[in-house]
Amino acid sequence: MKTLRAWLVRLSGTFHRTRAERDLADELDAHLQLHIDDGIRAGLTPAEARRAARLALGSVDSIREAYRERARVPWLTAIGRDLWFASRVFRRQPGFAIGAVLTLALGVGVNTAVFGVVDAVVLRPLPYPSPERIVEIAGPGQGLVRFGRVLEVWPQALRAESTFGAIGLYVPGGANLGGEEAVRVAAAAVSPGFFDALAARPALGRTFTEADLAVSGSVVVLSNRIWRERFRADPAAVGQQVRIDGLTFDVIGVMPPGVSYPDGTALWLPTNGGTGVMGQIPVAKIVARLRDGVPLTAVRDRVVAAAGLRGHRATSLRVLPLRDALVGPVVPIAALVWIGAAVVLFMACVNVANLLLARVSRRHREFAVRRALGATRGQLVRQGIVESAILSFLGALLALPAAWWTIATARVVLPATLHGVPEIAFDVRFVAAMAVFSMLVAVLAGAGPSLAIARTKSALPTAAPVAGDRGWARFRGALIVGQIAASLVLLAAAAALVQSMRDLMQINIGARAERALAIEMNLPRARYESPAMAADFVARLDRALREIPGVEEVGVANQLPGRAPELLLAHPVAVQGHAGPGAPADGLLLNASPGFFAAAGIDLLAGRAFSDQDRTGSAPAAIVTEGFARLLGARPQDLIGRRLGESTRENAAPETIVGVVADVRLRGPEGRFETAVYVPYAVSPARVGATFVVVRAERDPLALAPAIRAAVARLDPDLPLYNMRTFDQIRSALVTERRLAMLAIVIFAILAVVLAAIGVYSVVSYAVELRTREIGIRLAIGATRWVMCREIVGSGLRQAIAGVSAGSAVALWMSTVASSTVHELARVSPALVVVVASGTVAVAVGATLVPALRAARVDPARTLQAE
Amino acid sequence: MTKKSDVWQGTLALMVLRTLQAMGPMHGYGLARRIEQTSGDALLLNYGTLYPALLRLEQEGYVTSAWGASENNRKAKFYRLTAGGRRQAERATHEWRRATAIVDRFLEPEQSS
Repeated sequence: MKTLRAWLVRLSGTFHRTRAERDLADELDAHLQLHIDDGIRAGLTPAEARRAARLALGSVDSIREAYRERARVPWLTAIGRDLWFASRVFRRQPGFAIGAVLTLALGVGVNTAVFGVVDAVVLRPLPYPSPERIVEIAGPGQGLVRFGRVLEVWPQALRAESTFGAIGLYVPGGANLGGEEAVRVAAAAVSPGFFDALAARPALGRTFTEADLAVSGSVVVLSNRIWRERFRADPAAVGQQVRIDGLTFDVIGVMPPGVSYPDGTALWLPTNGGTGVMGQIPVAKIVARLRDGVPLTAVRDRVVAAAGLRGHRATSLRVLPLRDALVGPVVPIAALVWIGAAVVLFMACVNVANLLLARVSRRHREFAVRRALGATRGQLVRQGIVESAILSFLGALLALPAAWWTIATARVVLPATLHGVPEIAFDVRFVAAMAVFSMLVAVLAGAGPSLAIARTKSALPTAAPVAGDRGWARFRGALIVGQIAASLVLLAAAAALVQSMRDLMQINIGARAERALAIEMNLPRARYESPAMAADFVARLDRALREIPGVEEVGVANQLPGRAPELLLAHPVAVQGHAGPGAPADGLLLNASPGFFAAAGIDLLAGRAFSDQDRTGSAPAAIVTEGFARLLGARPQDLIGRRLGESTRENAAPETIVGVVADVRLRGPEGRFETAVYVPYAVSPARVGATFVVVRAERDPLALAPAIRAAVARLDPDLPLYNMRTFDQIRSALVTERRLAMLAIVIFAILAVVLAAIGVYSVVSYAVELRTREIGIRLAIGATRWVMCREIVGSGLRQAIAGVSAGSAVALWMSTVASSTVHELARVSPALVVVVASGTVAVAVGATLVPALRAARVDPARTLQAE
Repeated sequence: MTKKSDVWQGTLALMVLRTLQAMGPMHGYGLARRIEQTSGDALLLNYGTLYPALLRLEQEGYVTSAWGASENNRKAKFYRLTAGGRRQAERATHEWRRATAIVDRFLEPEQSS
């Protein structure tokens, strides 16, 4: 306590020193005076008394020194002096200081922003206790018929044995929240065990119990975000009511912040929720908490045994730690982006280190003089460290708003369903990361120069700086080679990513809908009680939309290419008269309105599309896909007029196949073509999940959006339309993370190349500066300017070629490693490397041109005169 | 004349505190002379060391200082013990006594038996 107080006083003394020193002088004067008075009283002459008093007091200077030591914090004063000196040095060369600060700001800003995102999305621990024991069990994949029945058996079967402490089912989906102006939010139907498996305790209220399932009461648990937005964080929200899909629900609980599993869920409903939340086809996932001591590897076998699964169903079962399930897919992308950011940081540090090193050589004289005047080596090194610390501190200060803006943007543009995105925030971890990065930068950029300073000899050097510090020149050259190599690797990665993204966007998904707009909506059961009511609404909507000027075609379906859930449920469908090895063929059961195939650009290969005559009561019709026919070993036209083995609906006559259409990739360009059997929407409308409306426009489809909204509002003002997008936008949305990562890498690659060019430029131009005298002499004795120019460019070219060779090898090697572990990352082809390498060499040589021309313009006469 | 001892580290603060406690507010020169007197002129105080020591005591809050006039009307800085300083003087005295008592036991002749 006392020590602290003394320190505070000393700290203040560090800054208010003059008064204290005057005080001490006065006090010592008084002391002498009193002593002299005593001496005179004792009979000495005034002169003798003065002498005696001075002798007794000792050296006033050393007292003052000791007093000063005690009054202040001496090293703090020294650092203050260094700071002041450094700021003067920087003021004298503002160009250097600004360049260095901007470069460091770039490195620190990029890395802090990337950290902010990666931290939230990947690094931060899950907000549940012992998250390593939570596993996600994804069902045995598509093609499993009667999956739901198995799921009903699972929880009991699995609970009976000792593998799981808790187990819960959930079905991810969406719901319309609110009455008027309802909004679409991510929602999940969950069983009571769901929250137990996560061990997520509500911040307010309670979670579901078995009793909530038994009665058909409507209860809901809110996410923290929705609670804040809808209830303004009102603690009394529990017990209040919200409207979901047109029904009234009691709020029974609110989750703590951060809990938004699965996929950014805003509402959790019990599995009997009676809403459209159960997704397109009710395929549940399972989340479970392992008991202590149960090894992860044993879980799968036990689940397979308990559920009695065999063959494909058993082998396709996935048991993943929750963290891997949430974070795993983005790890390679995040790693790639971070490597890119680290390269930019490295480049920035190298450039600033190079600048500082060159300055150390230029200031050689200054350092030598200061050494000769008594500055210790430590003091000079401290000066060097203070200078790089100031630069990096200013850089961090400049980078802070930019990094803040970047993560604020990332929060908006990254898909909200991606784990952790809502948690991206400007917080303590972020600021701490920035501090760490700026310190790292200070050390990386300042270490070399400080070492160089430490080697300064105290002897006064000759008038010109010594050109022969070979070690440092070689070190700087190696840094440049490293820079060129790193920028080439980044450039190759960026080019490969761009290429693969372009390929991805060009993959045929079976639907050509350049001018089509897709809209999603959920028809709440509360309002559309019977299938007939839903079918009637859709028919009226279809007519209303066709009346909008500029609309070419309108179609409705319960599934859209690129919008299918992860798991699709295929059924075996037989066709009468086809009993070959492929029969019955597996197909998804989908529905479509008459205009759907034309609106979505799905080719009709044989027969006809549905018409308005295909409705309940008329002869049942079906359309199958080309792939379905292929599974049966039939040509498309052979199937026209055939009947299905049995109806896709209960208690109905088997449908007659009236047409064959192309297969589509329902899960987007990376999914496969799905075989399917379509029935008319009017006969079998979507009862759960989304209804997709496709509007093909004559010109710009997005221009029709207001008219479409108005048309829907006239029919049902409470029905929220959501995800109004073109097919291209749907396709892009599937790869948002990768697209953003690609964008980041492209930006980093450009920055890296620019930094490398600056690096080459600064090193070569410094070399020219050092060699001015030599060049002048050589020009004077007959060397041509062309030779000088070629020599300078040649030195740059050598470094560029060394860097490019190393970089190419690394890029190819990394591509091999990456593509063997993560298939979706693009491969770097040798041809691409050649292109990128030539580009890099060109940039590097370009950067040497300016100093080379400067070398060629050296005036021999003036150089010789300067001797 | 016997050789005078230097004041060893740490004890000067105690002497200053005790002297101020006994004599009330004093200026630096007076303190120095008083300490020498109390020691029976056995101690030779290096006056120069006194002022940093006083500064330290002031920083620690044991003494306060103020300018005033000496007995022969010279301007001088007077040091006064604070309440904390008084407590510190008691504490330090107690500790010093204990320490010397322990050392004393080693110096007793019968200790060797």
